Amino acid sequence: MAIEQKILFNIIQEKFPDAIIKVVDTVGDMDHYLIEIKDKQFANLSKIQQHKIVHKALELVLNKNLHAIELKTSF
Amino acid sequence: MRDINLEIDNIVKNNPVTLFMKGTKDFPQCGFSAVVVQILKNLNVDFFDINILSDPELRQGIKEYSDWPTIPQLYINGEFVGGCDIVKEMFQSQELQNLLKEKNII
Repeated sequence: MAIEQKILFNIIQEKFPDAIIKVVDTVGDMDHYLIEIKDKQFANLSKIQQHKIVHKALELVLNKNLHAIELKTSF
Repeated sequence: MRDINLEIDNIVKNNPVTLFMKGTKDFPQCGFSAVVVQILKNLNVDFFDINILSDPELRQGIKEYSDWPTIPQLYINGEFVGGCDIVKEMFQSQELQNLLKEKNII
């Protein structure tokens, strides 16, 4: 488990190239992150749908590298 | 054989508010579950808590049922509302309170 903030940020940026992204290592252990993604593609979608898009995009890293994320999406 | 989907379907449709969580409402065993319990208690919502830690089959089953990878998961009248982050946001924006009022739960 654990992933560097920069690497995680780059993965998210690759998946959401037009988004404004914030990635914060909340505990300082590279294993708990606050992720904020502001992306126009989330417009007109429910919060559940927005989060599902992120879950799918980050499936690999979420399953393998990370213990917990706090996710905030907006458009 | 146990039909987990049917079991979950019955639980969420027969209880106005159901929380699938780690631990119980009186003894949450995860910070994210504890946050949702606090919010529901704060709103005086009577809810049914299900400890998925004591039932591995249900733990896997609910993730597939909701197509949602994490616990806790909140259901209101059979509908999936969200996990910790969404419930917290909805509470802060009053959206959760409005939804509960609309369903005559609070």
